[in-house]
Amino acid sequence: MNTGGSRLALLFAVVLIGSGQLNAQYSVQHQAPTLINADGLTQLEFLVPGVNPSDILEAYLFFRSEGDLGYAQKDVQFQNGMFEVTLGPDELSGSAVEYYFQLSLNSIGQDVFYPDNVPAENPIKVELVQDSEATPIVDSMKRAEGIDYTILSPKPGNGLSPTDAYIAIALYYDVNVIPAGDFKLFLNNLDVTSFADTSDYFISYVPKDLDRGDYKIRLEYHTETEELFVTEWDFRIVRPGQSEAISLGPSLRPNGRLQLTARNQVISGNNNNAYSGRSSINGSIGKFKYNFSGYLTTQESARLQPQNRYSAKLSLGKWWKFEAGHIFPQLSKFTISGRRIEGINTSLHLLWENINVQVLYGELSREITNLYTTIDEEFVYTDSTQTEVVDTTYTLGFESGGRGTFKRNVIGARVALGNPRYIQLGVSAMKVEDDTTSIFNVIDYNDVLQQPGFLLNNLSVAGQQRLRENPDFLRVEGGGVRPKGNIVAGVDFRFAFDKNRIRFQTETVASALNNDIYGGPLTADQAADLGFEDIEQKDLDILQDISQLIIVNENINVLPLRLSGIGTDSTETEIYFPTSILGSNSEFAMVYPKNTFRIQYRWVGPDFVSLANSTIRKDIAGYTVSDRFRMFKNQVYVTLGYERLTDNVTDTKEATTVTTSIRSNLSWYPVNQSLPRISMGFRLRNRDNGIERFNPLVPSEFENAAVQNVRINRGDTLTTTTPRKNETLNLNVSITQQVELSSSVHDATISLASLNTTDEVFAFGDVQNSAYSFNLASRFSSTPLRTQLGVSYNQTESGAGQLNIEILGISAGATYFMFDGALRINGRVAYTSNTSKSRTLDIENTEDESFLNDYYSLSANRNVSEFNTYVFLAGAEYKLGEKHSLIFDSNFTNVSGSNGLNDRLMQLRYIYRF
Amino acid sequence: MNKITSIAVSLILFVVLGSLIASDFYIPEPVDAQERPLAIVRRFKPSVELAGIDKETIVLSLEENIGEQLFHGDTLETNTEGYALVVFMDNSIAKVKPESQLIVRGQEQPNSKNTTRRINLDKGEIFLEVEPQGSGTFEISTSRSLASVKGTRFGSTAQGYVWVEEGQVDVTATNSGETVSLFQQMYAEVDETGNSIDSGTLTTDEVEDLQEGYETLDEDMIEKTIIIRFRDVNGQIREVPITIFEKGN
Repeated sequence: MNTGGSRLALLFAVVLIGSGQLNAQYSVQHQAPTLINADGLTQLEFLVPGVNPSDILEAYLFFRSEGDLGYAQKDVQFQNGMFEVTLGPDELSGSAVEYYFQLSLNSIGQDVFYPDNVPAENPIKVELVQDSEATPIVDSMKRAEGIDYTILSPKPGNGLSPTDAYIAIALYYDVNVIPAGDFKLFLNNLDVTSFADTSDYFISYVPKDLDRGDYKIRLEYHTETEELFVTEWDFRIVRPGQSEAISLGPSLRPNGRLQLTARNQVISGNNNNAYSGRSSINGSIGKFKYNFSGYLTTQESARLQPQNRYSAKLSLGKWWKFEAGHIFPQLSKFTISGRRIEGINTSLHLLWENINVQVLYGELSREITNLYTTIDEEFVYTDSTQTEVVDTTYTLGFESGGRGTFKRNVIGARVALGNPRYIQLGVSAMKVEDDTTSIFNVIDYNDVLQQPGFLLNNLSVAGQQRLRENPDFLRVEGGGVRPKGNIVAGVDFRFAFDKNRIRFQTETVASALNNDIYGGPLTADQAADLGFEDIEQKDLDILQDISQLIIVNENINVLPLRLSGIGTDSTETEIYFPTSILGSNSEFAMVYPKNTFRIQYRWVGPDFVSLANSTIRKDIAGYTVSDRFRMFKNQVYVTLGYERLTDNVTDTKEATTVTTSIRSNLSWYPVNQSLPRISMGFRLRNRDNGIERFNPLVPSEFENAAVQNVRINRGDTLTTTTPRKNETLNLNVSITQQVELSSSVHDATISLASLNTTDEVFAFGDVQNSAYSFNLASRFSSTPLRTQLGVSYNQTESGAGQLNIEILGISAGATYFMFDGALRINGRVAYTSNTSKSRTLDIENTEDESFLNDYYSLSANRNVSEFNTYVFLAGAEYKLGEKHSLIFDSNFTNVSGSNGLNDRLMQLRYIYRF
Repeated sequence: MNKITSIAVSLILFVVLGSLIASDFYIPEPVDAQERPLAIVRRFKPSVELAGIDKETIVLSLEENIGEQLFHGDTLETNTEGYALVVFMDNSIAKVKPESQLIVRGQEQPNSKNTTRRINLDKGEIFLEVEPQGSGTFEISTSRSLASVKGTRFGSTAQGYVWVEEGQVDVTATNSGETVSLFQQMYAEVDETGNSIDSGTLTTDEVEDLQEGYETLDEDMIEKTIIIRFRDVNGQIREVPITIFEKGN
């Protein structure tokens, strides 16, 4: 044999006959087929030279269809000196089969494989073919023109479980354009049209009993003369158990997000760089969920409330929730409802949410130290020559922004019995109290002596001596910081029925606020100073007992002490319950799809205070009724509302203001986009405190401009509360019309709004405002572009010429997408013209001593201010795959005029998701 | 004031009574017999009810109603355990949570993909994955809000709470006409009167919470390849690529 022939033979052997070396003793030889016919029987042979049949323990073929996770195994028979195995059509599916051979022998302790190198990882892979694939149909067919489609199910290439197999395709074509014909649906070349649900524009088919493997769907359009190809796609039937074992179970891998931001800004001439990092990670293990998040910024400062924030949130099903860090707990509407604290908030919901317990604890605000200046000693002289000192004042000031705050602690709890979807009764209480030891705070000179430091630098020895003897002589600029205490407690009750569509809920709470808890509870001496000389010790003991909840002393907003028997010989001090500290809210609602009816009654006393919820409107009572319903197949929405509110709920003022509002709105939102969408509404509000305008002392034509309102009582002229009687009418109309052009859609919106307040008792109380705007948003189907154009005009005149403001704004913006949306570029330009003309109110008739005949008039001088604002915004976002994004934002603002400013901001963000 | 009040009250009475009477006599805009449904109920978890104009209410059966077709005016309702995955003709997806009720409305054109669709969400919650479109429209209306979308992933409750996972949604308070645009990880809540909109941003955790439950009826299984890396007996690092099918989005 020549060398060339040997090499060729060797190469042939390597290519066509694989061989495995094993223990230098046994090798497996096998010729893998080029293709396997999935419709027929396939026999595989493995040759192991030198093997002794009696030495064979077992031989297996491990095989799988491409995409399967695990291998099936099949016994391999040793016959005629060969290991042989046959695979049938029912065992072959998909587009390829992977396999490897394993032989176990008695004589050696290690199995023999083919291929020998990690066979499960590197199996032999052979493509599967169908008989019909030898002559591809598609290539020989003409494509149908003018027929568009959307494949709804299954998505091309996706896998389905056998019971979930469903084929659906939507068709779009002009029947007048394509030739007459019928659609034909094929599954693996089998015409299944007769089994399918077919209409002219939609075809669906539910195949039954599909085996595991690959399938091909083909849609054809058959005319009288030809068969046209529409589309073809593959899908796969996979074993459901196998699929679920792979990935359908809950993932334990947490998700997260990291964002890094660098920002440079110049605002009002101040250059500022800021860097921040924000991260969050969350995940779940069964019903246990967790979330951790944090935010770090270079803007953190000890002079501010926390800017660096963190939080951890854990929950176990519906039973347990736990939050720690910077969180936003909600206890009830009147106590704390979404205010940020630094602390913990946890709740338990047991026995199908029939037993509910919630506890929160933390800080409403952290301590910020006072930054004092030195004590300023100032002499008061008798005359301008400054020779004789008659007095000396001592003032302790603050540096700019140096006023501090106490650490404010909060603790609260709520216990509720019953499921809120049916019936529930709850009790809640919350205590807020400043930590008086948290900061160095000066009230008098004795406090200064505790940490004198530099505070005494400018104070003379005489001054120090005088203040030591009279600590109260020291005045703190703006008054010293005072620690407060607050408690809010109450009950709530709710019930619902008809699947929670009919609901009633009510909550009533009481509060107490102490504006200065220094000194502790009221003492007998302090009570005597307040006029309660005969207060009994048992009453003081009560105050001492409740000091754990709230310190009651002379600084509480409502002292629960009053004198009884005034005007008699037996005047006594008694503890009572002041109703002005109460707050209550009740709501009844019927929420049905087509009609929502709601009635609410609220009563909040003037002394109700929650330091954790400062947005509650006080001294208000009244009810609100609203009904909202839909008509005309949910295309018309109608709202009717009525509200009547009064102040002076504890009847402590001279007059009660009644505010009555009626309102209605009608909106039409047709499904058909070619019709305009219209919304229009009005609100009429009337305020009247029942005081008649009366002042005969001013000229009659200026009576409504009088500074004072008077009444005559037994010949005496007395001032009264300022009369209030006005009416405000709001009207608004908004119309949106969509216009569709060949390759673009434009949404044009016109909005008109007006407000007109007519004051019947004050000459300068009228207000007129008109606002008009036009907005055009466009989208283009042929270009990945969105544009927006807006014009607005706002005109306001108030106070019968006191102030006149006109604002005209024009803006235009665009967003362009590139690289399949990976890159987004946006820009916006806005121009605003502002003109304001103002005149102040002068007071006339001030020459005489009487102030009762004074009246207002418009000053002759008119101040005119005009300036324009130009804003340029530009930004871009680039997505680097699914996990990374780079976002750039910039903003440049120019304000013209004498106080012109050029503000700019640039920001770069990097986001990583995992 | 009294005069204006009386005029206003008269106007309201006129509008209300007129609307109620007109509503009774209202004949729905005729919709041509449609060859193509607006959507199909691709997957569901019993029980789910389907009712429609001139149709009897049926309870969908897993044996007989896979791919049940939804036409203009059809009402789909899920019970306390029910879920539904509705696929529209452009492959937009609506995932419907338990105890929800929605009415599907819209207009299909035989030769154009420019479709107008609106879901009236009367109760419950849905999550939508709306395909980006050139000109078609997709809206979710509740008694308080109207959410108009163009290619996005977002959720809405019948109580007027709309949140966006991805993309952009314009939310309109149906009473006042006030409109806000929501972008990724933002929410809007329209008050009960449909007058005002409270909007803000959501943390990733809050978005996760809002997504809870929607994975129940996920879509087809998508072929993916994962690589398992390990050290074999010889101490060599080996990588095993494994093709798997996992639920896609």
